[in-house]
Amino acid sequence: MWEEYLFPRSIQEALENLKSYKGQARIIAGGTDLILELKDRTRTVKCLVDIREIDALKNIEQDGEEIKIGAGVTHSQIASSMLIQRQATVLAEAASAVGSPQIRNQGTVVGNVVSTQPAADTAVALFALEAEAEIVSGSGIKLVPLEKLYAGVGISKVDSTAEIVIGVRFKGLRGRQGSAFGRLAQRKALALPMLNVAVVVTLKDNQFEEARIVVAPVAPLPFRLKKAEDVLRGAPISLETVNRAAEAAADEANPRDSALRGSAEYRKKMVKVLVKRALEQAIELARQK
Amino acid sequence: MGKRLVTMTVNGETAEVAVEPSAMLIDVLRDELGLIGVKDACGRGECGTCTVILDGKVVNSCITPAMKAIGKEVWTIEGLDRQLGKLHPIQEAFIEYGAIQCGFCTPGMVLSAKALLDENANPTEQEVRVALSGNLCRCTGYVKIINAVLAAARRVKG
Amino acid sequence: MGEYSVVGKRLPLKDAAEKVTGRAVFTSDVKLPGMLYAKILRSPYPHARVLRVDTGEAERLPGVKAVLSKNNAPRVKVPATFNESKVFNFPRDKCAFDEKVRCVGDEVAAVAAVNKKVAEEALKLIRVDYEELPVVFDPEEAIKPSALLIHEDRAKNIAAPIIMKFGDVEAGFREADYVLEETFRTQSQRQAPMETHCCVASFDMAGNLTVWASHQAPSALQELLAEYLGLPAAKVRVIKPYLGGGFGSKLDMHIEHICALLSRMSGRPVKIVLEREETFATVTRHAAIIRLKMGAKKDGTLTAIQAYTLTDEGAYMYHLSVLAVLARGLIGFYRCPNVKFEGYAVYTNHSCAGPMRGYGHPQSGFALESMVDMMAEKLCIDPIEFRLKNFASPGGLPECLARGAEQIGWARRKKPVKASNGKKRGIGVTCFTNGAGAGGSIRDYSAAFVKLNADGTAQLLTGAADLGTGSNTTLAQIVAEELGLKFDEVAVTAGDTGSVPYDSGAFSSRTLYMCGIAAKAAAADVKQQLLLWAAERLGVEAKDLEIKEGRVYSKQDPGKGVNFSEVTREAAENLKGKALAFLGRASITNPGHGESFGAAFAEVEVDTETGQVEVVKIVAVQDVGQAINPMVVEGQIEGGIQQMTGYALTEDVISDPKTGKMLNDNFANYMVLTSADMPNVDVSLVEVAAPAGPFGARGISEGITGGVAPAVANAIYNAVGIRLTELPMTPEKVFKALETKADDNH
Repeated sequence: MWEEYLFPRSIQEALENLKSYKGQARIIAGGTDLILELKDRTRTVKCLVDIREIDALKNIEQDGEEIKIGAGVTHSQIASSMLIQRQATVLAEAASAVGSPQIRNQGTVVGNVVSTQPAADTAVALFALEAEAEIVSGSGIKLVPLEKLYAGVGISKVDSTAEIVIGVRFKGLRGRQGSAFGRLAQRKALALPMLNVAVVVTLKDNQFEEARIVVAPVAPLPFRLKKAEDVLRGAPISLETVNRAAEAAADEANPRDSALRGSAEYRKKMVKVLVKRALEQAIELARQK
Repeated sequence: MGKRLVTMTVNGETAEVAVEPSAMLIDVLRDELGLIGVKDACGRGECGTCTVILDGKVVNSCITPAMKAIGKEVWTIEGLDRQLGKLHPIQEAFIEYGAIQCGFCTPGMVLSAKALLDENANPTEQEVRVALSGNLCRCTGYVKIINAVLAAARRVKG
Repeated sequence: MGEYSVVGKRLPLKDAAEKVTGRAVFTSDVKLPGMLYAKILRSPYPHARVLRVDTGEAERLPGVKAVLSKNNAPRVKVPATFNESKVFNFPRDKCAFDEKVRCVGDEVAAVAAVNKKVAEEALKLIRVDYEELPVVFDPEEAIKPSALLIHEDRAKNIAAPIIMKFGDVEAGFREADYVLEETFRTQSQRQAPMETHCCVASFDMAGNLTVWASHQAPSALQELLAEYLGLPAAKVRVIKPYLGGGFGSKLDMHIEHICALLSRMSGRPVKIVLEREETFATVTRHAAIIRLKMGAKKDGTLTAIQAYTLTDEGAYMYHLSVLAVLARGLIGFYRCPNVKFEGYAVYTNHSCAGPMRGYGHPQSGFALESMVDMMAEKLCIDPIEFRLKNFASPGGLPECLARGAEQIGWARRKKPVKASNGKKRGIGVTCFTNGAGAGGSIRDYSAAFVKLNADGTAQLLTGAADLGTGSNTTLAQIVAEELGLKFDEVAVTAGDTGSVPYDSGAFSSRTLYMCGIAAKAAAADVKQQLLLWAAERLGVEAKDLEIKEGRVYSKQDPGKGVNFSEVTREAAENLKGKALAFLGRASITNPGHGESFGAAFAEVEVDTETGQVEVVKIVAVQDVGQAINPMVVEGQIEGGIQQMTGYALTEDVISDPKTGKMLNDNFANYMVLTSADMPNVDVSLVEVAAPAGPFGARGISEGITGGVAPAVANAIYNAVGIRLTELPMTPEKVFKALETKADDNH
């Protein structure tokens, strides 16, 4: 398959490795998606540039209000991080749901974003956290909202032969903010989702100040259900409001028929159930704070 | 192309192996080092049969580039009893509790159990189920496997 | 049950330590000097004529040592299955590298090369001209006279129909107070053993073939290979190394003949290891459509059962007898004076259907046990009472039902629990059965040798194929018990046709039963030889002697005796010019009566908002006769529950509508249960001795396969009042049925 496998020791070195191969080299982190693509030959490379030895990418950091996750951080590390469990519950829950223990030990959160699979669990959660990606290339560093990185199913706007996503960052959840992740799948492990839902709610007095509701796969990327969010904004916290929002969510989301993952009709109806349950959970968490 | 000589620690011993840059860890372990306890059942990281412990964590060796093991510690099933000079308590429990039928999933299953107990000496049944959820078994229905792991936990503690 | 020293004990497997340390050598671990690696080129089309196969460029690729195709392969229609029957006329319809391909995955060519990479490259260089033909996937379409023929040498896409009748069903239905009719559909399931199919073939310079094969019936494979290659059986040796599961997928000759041909052509050993997708496509469980009609009187007596069934055989009719087992399962389980079965095994362009654990029982069980519950409800009779009333030969079944009912808490059923979040609980029951062996319709016999070593230990030579089923341990227990030896004093040789006698194979829950009867008989035979020697030595009659705990003694005068090992030592020493190599032998045919019965209970929790069904608990109580090794028996039932809970809820074959190809041919999308999904399981054993079984043991492994899916279906009905008649019972199907019910109620 590939002829060369490199371990750069710094971000700079990694960029130089990529540059020297002129589009024929690619970044690899955990590789749980990438290796399958290379085995199936839906992708070919001459060289893989492994970021494992780059210390700067290994950490979960808190920087003021922001939480930063390096490109080398695995799903296992996210799932067991106290910081993430407290300030980004939805992300910890999503990370716990990925594949299997073995997959979680290798796969990275950043990798989930770069692979641009519409229902990649942690990517869905990151969308609800309004995360941004930090991308370095020959021309410097830029901060890009995640939704700008998706060109199509499995097609990223990140050019992994020339640029490196070194991390993602988002504002940690505080005060009366709660979050939750919901998943519908055919079994409890080793299963791709039929539906993923990630919600973040901000409560003020007895009202929803703000809400973010993300559902996948109903589009080429994790999908913010803005109309459902509008239902909640300023509305009182009640079962009735939650139900209305859940119904609006089901209205807005349009999954397709999938032989492997369920019909459009069924999954559209399940959006309502999952959104409702996730909202209930998130509200409960926010109220505990 | 062409193989290069790399060093890794396998089952507690330094191993110098000739590795193709695009080889998977399972190929190196089985073909270069003769560690046939690492089994291949799907080639896609979807069943856990090929599980080994790399750098202290269980991974699917069939989708792990061999190069990722350079300078790292790899443990296969063979390492368990070789290192101890006798069977590990998990292995003893598997035998005693009837947790083995055809034996093909067993090496990976034992290593996943070991990784669990190394991190959590007193797991609940639910935690055992989750820790083993990446290892498929078609013979046992997992019942005696779970019992064996819980029994081993009690023994390792006591 | 009985009081035994070795039988009945929860002994660990003799080979457990070998497996748990990774030392066990499986077929794919076998390496021979000069060994080549082979890959098979398979048809991407479900139905096509193979006009031309051009292998020239592949042959010229450096590293390629042999290429097979229709250009040079023998045109031999060997039964891919050993399962040839006197009773049913099995068609010999499969020929490797045929002029026509009849399903996606049919073999078109094969290459042996110095390594896997070169073999894969060579496959890409083979050019095949196909003439695509129309396809048919639906058995209800394929059975029509107008349907295109998949096998042109046959008049229709069916084998001869299976018709079984007794009494007069029309009269029976007229007599009934209630008549119910329903159509049940069961899906194709995959065996999915963790080890894929693999084999290594090697010829020596004298033309003797040795094949290491991951195969459930080494004796049968030896004969199949001999016939295919035109060799005398004496020149063919089959070795079965440790085997990573089969469940029926490894009973037939799928790759071994191709491997042997390539070895003969290249003059070198050849190894084939199938990829996971290939193993998924070898043989499947038969999908079935069962239209079932049942009549009963108010008092619960059955008056008539009528069934019409179609099974989807796929491209080749490997195991048409599944339909016969299915038939007997429907009309022979309960006592009913008027029964009629009409069934058709239908060719389609799907992957070939074949043996999978249960072999007709899962299909018939789902239909029958669902309908029994429906009828019980109609009659307002408790489902357990209704079954007990009509069960034909109870044996240990009443105790199974009673014990299981208590363990699951059957009384809770009247008040279904409604938990939070729209979840509802329910409990269901079923009865199940399996035979031991083939019921007289196919080759079903077994032979064994027991030899005694000079030190009084024993060696069992058995044709049994242990695929994780523990026969290498349980057969040793039987021999040890028979000879009064300790468990460690009996060694077992198995899995090598060069050194063990014939056995028909590991299928139909027959290994412990048949190989056990043979082993016990061979042990009894050698015991008799030893007793004769001892009798002469002690100056008594042989019938006066008994063996216990390694000592041979006179029943009348227990002080008069000699150690077992002393006798064998003397016989070996050739004193006084007399020596005897003690060798017991037995060859037995199936005496019948090895069947087993049991009861399965399921408790489910239905999430009415999503349709998801969680199986909270399965209780299985089975009459196993004497459990030779209770730990092994439990393990079989528990494993069966994993497979059949998948059958009930999550395992399905999603086919491409155009090509019939299995789209979910990988473990990511073929949903076998993980440890996180496995329900809580409570397995217990009832022991009513089987008259002819070894120490009263029965065949047991397949019984549970008929019990789980209908138990879950009946539990779902108890929970939410919907009757699902199609498997698997996915959340979407449950949800839709709940919606329909809610609509109906308005």
